[in-house]
Amino acid sequence: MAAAIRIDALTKDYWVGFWRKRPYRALDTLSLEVQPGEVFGFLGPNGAGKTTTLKLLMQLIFPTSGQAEILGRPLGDVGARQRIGYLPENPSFYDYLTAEELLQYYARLFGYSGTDARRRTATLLDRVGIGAERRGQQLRKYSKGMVQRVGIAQALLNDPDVIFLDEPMSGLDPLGRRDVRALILELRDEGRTVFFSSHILADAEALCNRVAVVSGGRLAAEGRLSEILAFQARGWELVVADVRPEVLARLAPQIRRSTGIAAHRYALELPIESRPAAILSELVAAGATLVSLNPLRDTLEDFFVRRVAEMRDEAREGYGGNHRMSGAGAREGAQKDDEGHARD
Amino acid sequence: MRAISWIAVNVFKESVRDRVPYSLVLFAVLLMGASYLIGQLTAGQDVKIIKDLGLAAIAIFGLFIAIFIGIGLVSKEVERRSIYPLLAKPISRPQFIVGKYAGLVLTLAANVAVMTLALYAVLAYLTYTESPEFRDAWDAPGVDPQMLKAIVLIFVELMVVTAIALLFSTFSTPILAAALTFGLYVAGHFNTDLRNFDQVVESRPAVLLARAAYHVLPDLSAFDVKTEVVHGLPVTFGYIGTTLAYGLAYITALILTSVVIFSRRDFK
Amino acid sequence: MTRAGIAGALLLAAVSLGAAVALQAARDARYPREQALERAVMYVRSGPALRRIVLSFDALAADVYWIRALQHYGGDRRAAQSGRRYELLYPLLDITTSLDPYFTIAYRFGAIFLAEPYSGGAGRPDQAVALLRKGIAAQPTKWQYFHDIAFVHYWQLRDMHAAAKWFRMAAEQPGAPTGWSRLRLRC
Repeated sequence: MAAAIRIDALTKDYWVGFWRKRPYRALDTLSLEVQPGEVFGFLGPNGAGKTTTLKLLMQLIFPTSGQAEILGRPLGDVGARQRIGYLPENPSFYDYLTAEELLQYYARLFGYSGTDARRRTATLLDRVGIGAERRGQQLRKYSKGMVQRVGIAQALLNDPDVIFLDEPMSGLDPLGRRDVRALILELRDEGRTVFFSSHILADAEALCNRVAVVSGGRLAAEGRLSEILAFQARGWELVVADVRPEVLARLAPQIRRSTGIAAHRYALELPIESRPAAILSELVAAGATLVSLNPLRDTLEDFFVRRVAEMRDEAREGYGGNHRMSGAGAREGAQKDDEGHARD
Repeated sequence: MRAISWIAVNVFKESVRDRVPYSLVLFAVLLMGASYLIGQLTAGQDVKIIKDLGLAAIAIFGLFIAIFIGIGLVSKEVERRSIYPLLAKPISRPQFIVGKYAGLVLTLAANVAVMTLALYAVLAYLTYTESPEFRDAWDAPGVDPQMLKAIVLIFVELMVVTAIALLFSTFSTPILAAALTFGLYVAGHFNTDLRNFDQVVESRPAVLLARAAYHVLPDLSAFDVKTEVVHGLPVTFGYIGTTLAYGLAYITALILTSVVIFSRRDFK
Repeated sequence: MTRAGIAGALLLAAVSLGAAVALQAARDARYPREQALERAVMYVRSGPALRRIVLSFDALAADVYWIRALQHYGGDRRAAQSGRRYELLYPLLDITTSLDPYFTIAYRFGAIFLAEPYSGGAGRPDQAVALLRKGIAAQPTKWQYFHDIAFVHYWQLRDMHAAAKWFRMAAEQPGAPTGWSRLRLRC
């Protein structure tokens, strides 16, 4: 089957500076394919090029080089947009319109008749949880979370095959995030393709079949979540009770780290190459009780932080050093260092 | 075409919600207040003064609407980022520009129509209350359909100003766009002076430069026939026709330029 | 929009502008703008009224009217054989000097345009003297105006008596060339 989204070496340079303009590469030869029916997570720290990619796909900006196809049609094909939904990052609409008027306006642009436009509007406002009492209010009176919900509604207005969501969770409270997650899963079950960007990894872990991680405008990793993470699994966590300290001391060489949780109760971290069954039987023989045994899997978060740091090191050592030009790159790097520390 | 008309309707709706119609109330109050005061002062000539005032007010109120909404037509959408979801809909950028323009022209048409009606209403009242001897002394009848000639030309002039504002709106900030549009408006009204340059200057390059400026700048003074109409002087249909055709050709050039600029723009 | 689309739109824009220029030229040929200038002056003959209208930009407006006066003079001088008679010259100069009462050049050159015998000028020395007197009203000690009035009397009106009187007055003004007071002026 043809890919729902195919991105081929997409590159975007911005010209920065006031007097002496220099190019700044926001996106560097990004290539991706998203299959129909996938929920695809497009991940990366702030400023990694996620929004740039989505804007390129929506033709809000034009690529410096490279190309892309959505539903087998080249970018800029107005007809293809009939089958695409798009939620921009921090969406903003016409604050003089009510939610109903806004959606009806967009529905008319999609070619719906008056009755159909009203029906679609009502269905979607129901779906994103905007109650009848708020629909007739001008958007200027809406909270950020409400606007985000309206934004999601307008992205689904035309019953799209491919939906692009740029940071769909931003501005939402925990309840709203849960709703949006459920909605994305519904969309997947309806057989639609969802391409969403996020810097929040829990979202991706909960929703995605596949993810791509971008950093500094370049693709850092791509694949099934299980592939990316299983590869990174790094050990076992064994929780045991009723353990005498001398037993623990005897086993110390095989244990990477032990943490006392309560009296005679320990969490033991074992290296991936160790055999947890053997250690466990030795402990049990010494009178200990098993509480739990779990593989210590890398979270996406860990992977993310490490991979971004690796890429930065590569850039510093000069590999692909020309992907960022002159001073702009240095400043960007410094900025990301700060972000890295904040995350640590 | 359908998309264009919906974009236009939305512009119209925005102008209504932004309380542009209040300007009409101001216009009506101004006109009625003036006619009352002038009626106290002068005898017989008050209808002429009301006509002068009314036509000037239509031109000025229209100019304010054209400039202040026109400069924000595109830049406001970009600034509040409402352009992002909009352009992801199945509309092309040229459609967007034409729709925006049509919307403001629609707004202007509604405003000019209401102001025209108000002006005629006041004039009808004054004519009705004036004694016949005075009425005979007027250059032109009180309720004079000839005035529509001036109003139609004012309207097309406003369409030109709107197209200028739209053009600047596609690439510059609202304040700069307002300044540039107003500058061109003023320059357009002093255009005739450029044309007659060759009568005083001998230098060939200077004359050519003035001539070029005369042709490239909008020739707005040509749209001004207020004085003639008020004094009952003839304004031929030939003149109106060529001036309208001129206006439409000029607008087409401006819109096409806006489309080209806008079609190539990145929305960062 | 594709490259071809943009090129097409630009081409069409150029054609439209060309059409606009052609229409403008056609209209100007059929309905000359000279008329428009006449109309403009006809209805606003009063300088003081105009001064109110142009708000605080009276000096700038004066410049505009001075340029219009020059254009009118130049235009009629070129077309003198067609019998045009500089009819708007005085009103234009009057408006100019009302807008900016200290516009020396407008008084002095304006007076020359007015005083010159017909075809080279308006042949209206009376208007020239009136204009210069207006200048004296604005600046009572400006010797140049007295001097120019004297010349109008001397050359155009051939009134030596008056010319001598105005010359003497010019010489009495502060800043006048000192040699003049020694000139023997016969009355």
